Amino acid sequence: MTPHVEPPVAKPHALACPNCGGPVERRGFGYSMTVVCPGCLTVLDASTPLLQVLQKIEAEQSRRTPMIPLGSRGNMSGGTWEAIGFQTRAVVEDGETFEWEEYLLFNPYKGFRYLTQYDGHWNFVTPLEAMPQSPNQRGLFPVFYDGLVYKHFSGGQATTTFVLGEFPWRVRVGEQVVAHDYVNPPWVLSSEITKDEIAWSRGEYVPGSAIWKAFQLPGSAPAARGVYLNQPSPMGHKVGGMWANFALMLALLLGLAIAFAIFSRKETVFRSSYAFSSSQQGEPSFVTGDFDLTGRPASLEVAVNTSLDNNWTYFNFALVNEDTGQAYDFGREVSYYHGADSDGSWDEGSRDSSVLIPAVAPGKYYLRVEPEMDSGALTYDLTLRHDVPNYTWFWLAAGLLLIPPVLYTIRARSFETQRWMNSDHPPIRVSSNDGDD
Amino acid sequence: MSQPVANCPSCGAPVQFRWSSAVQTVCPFCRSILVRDDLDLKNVGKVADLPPDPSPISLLTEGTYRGKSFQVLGRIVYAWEDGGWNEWHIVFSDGSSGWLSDAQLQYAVSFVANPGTALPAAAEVSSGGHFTFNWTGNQTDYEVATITRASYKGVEGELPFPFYGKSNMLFADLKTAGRAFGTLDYSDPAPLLFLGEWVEFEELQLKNLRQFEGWS
Amino acid sequence: MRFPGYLIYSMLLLTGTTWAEFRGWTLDRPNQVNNVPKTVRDNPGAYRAVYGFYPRYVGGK
Repeated sequence: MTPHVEPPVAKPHALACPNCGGPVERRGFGYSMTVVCPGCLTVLDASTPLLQVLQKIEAEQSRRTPMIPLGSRGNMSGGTWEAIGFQTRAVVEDGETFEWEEYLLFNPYKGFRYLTQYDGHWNFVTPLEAMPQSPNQRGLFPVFYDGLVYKHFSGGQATTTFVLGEFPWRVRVGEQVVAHDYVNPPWVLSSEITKDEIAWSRGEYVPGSAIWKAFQLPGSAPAARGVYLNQPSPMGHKVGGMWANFALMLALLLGLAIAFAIFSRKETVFRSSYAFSSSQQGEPSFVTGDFDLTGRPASLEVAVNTSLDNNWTYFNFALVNEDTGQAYDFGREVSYYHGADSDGSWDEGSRDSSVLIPAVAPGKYYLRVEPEMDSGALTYDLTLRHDVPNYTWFWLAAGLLLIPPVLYTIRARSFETQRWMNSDHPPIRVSSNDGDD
Repeated sequence: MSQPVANCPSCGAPVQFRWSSAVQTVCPFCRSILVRDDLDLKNVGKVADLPPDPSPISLLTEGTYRGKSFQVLGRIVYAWEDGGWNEWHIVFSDGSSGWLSDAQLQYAVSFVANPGTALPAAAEVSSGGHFTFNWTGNQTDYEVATITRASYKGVEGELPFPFYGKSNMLFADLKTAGRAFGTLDYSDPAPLLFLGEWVEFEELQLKNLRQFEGWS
Repeated sequence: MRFPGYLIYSMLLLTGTTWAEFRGWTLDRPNQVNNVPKTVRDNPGAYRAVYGFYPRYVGGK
């Protein structure tokens, strides 16, 4: 079998910086086109065996220190990656500068990836060779890729403000690209436009703690501030599930209400008609005949239906248990007024009223009634029904069932509002001082 | 696969072909480019030592693509303004051949394809142009993304055609909304179309890779 | 179930509702008066309503 001779590998090694003479480490196995001297920050051309100066950096105070030291290795997303390059880039918006970090990760088999960091929010980014579909690649329309829709979040000119380590392409401090971000949390699709070429990449949101664990960094990750563009919502897509749960519980509640409506006895234990006049002589109060309440303790409805017309009557009631001498003492005012004016006819109040006495024990009862009235007369029916469903409890339960999904939805909305307030398309416009309002 | 043996006309070493359709190979001992005329080997020149190369793939690396296993038998090294890339010649167990490209560790497998329509000439192709080609049974839209000028830096192993001394070749990179991609190759007078797809390192299940110091 | 907390909460609500309904409770209770004498039956005018202030009947005979 004809053997073949493998070409030598460019092993990790150090060269001398042509500017300051300090050591410049090469870890990128020959892929690097640019390398930065860690001592004097000069940007060097790495595409030839001898390093040549590409860009000298003046201000030493522009030096930034990467949180993940270059040369560190971390295990994440199914591979081991070595951080070999670091840069910071910034955009200017409304006079404010926003700067973020980018780490270049390298694996000699799998290739290159990136970690971006802003305000404690991290993303693991993979370059894409595909061109996601969009009607206007440089614009504000949503982008389709791999079965998902990504909404435009922000776009602007990004300037490289600091570089360190190695890169497989040419970098310079001050370099500018037009960058757009499209989000579908936890994913972000980013485009970078240089000259006439567009490069796409996809990032996945990673919590800082996962980065610290992967690279085994000391201490803990800096806390994340605010909501990041593709940060997954803790309420996530669960809001729909909450409402589905609510619907299910409401259906159960309705079933219960129907069951009680059907199985309650609603037994009319007493009914009679009376008349009363304010001008009548003698004792206005009277007692009804006896009636029996049977079965388990249940509610008793006392309903009065009157013939009131533009008048009112107050009924004093006492439901007395003949055997035990215990009584329920209560009263109801019934008033009904009506008329017609320029807006049409109106009415106020009702001719009828009812009261529910709770858990009345079985026994022999009578009702004491004492009507009161200023002037006028009326006729009325008294109807007593035993074991009547009390729908108040169901309305109350329905209302209480509603509270958690409403609160959940408010929280989820608030999270999304916070997310989009940082975008180019904020849901609430904060007006700056420009003209009248 | 028959493995005919011949002798290198330059240094006399035995040269064995692993692929019966190989048209060109490089003698591993004296680095002469040998073009095959039946069993006659013609020495057409020497290839320089290949530069230090970081690709994890090498000749005799094995892998799998869409369920079919292949072996890497040849290589063309290209260089362009901003770097270089490898086109590894892969041969499947049924004798068919394709290309595994490795450009800064982004991997793609492609095959020569029949465009079905006339291809534009080199002077006519430009960024933003659209084509529709059939890829794995689906009519797919391709957009010209970049036009690249490249030259060859070296060859190795067995190739399906004679390839040496080419420079200033034009390539048009075609991209789609998904994994599929294409290349219009203008290195020969008649333009060639290659269609393929981007693949992840893990999908290829490569074996017999080269080892890197410090990496497993 | 993705919302165990809500499930428990709603089960408690439904159970509570069923219990309240079964026992015949209402949200507000009328005042209870004890020891109403049997004579009220013959003389309803003698009854005096006490609005929960005195737990027993303190009217006249």
